[in-house]
Amino acid sequence: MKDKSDRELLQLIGENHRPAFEELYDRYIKLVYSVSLKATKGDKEKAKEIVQQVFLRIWTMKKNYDPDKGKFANWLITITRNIFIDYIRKEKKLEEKRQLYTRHESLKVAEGFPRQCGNQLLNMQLEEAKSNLSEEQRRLITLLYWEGYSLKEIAAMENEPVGTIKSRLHQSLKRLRQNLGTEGGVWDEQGM
Amino acid sequence: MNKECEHLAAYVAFELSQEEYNRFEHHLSQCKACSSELKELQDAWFALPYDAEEADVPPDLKSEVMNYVFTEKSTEVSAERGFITTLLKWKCAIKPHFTPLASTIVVLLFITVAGLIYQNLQLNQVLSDIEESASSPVKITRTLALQSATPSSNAQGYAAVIETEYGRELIVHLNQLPKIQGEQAYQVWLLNDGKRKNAGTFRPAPNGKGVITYRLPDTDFSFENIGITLEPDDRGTKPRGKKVVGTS
Repeated sequence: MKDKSDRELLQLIGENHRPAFEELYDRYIKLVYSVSLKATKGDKEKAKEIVQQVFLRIWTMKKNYDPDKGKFANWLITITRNIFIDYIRKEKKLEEKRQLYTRHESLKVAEGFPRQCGNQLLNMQLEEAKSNLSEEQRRLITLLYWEGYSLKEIAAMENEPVGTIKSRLHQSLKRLRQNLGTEGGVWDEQGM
Repeated sequence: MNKECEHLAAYVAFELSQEEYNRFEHHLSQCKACSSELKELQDAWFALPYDAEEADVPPDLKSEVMNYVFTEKSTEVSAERGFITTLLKWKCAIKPHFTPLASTIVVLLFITVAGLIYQNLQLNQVLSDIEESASSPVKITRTLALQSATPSSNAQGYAAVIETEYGRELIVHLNQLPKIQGEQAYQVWLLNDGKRKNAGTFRPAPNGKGVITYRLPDTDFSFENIGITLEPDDRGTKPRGKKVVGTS
């Protein structure tokens, strides 16, 4: 199994071959787990739930992967992000409901929102020390990629038109790509 | 560079609605600027998760994940999802064929059919109840031999009292009865303490066989003997003719 390419593994998985699936797990668990852990801000139990959903979806949707449309790793990352964003949004809704019941405190929470953002920025500065993004750009990436806010929601939060946010995203990704070119920034990547 | 090009980053970040997505895919196939920039932005987008700090994977996670994927619980979930997907597909396939009027008619038909099926089920239930009771065993409580009362005939037979859940019934079965003429009929009498009770009249089959049943009035009613007379017609309230056969 170890000498097989991702594409060969996926072919076997398509035939319900469990050892191939386990090999795929071994290859990508570090990436999926690390991403899930970051998305859940270090909550190991929640990260585990996300990982389970990701691999269940790979197993049930294996027929949907089309190698001509891109690398398996990118497909896997997209699945992982979709799952953790669903997870985060559900939690956010629960949190909003909870806050409705505790209106008095929510005033303070509302005041604390920028501070909360500040904490996240602090985290992000650590996480993205390599990149040369502006603070605004980093905040955008965090809110969009890791916290599951839509571009519209971010525009409302930042009090700016959606068009501005879109072009900021464009610039951020371009800049990031340039930084990646010189510093790498990708660990343990497995090609097809 | 036109207005569509502004959507490139949102396209890469999966932030377009289905409609916008389709429109942009079309634009992408025509716009050189976008298609040359696409790869660059996608590389950056798909590199974002690698910013997560490399974490130590708990050693027991693998067995938990495999159990989760391969246990019944998750296969049930996916089977259920599969079922729902199939339902949705059906719904999408069927929907275009129905105008509001057609839908209303279909709904009304469904209601009618459902009503008829319900009624049918009820009837079947009633029928099976009846069949059930009909199949409950019949108890024979008494049998009497019947013999010819005249030397000129060989008529003979038997009578039986049976008990069903609806009450008691008398059955009289006779052979070799003398042939009747005109309006003549045989009449059955139940005798008790010198009193007679009419238990019905009958005309035998051409081969001399005759059968009659009679529901006994109530549980207290009893009789000692049975007499069958040949009557000039079937309208008599008292015996007018001769006793042909009976208990000896």
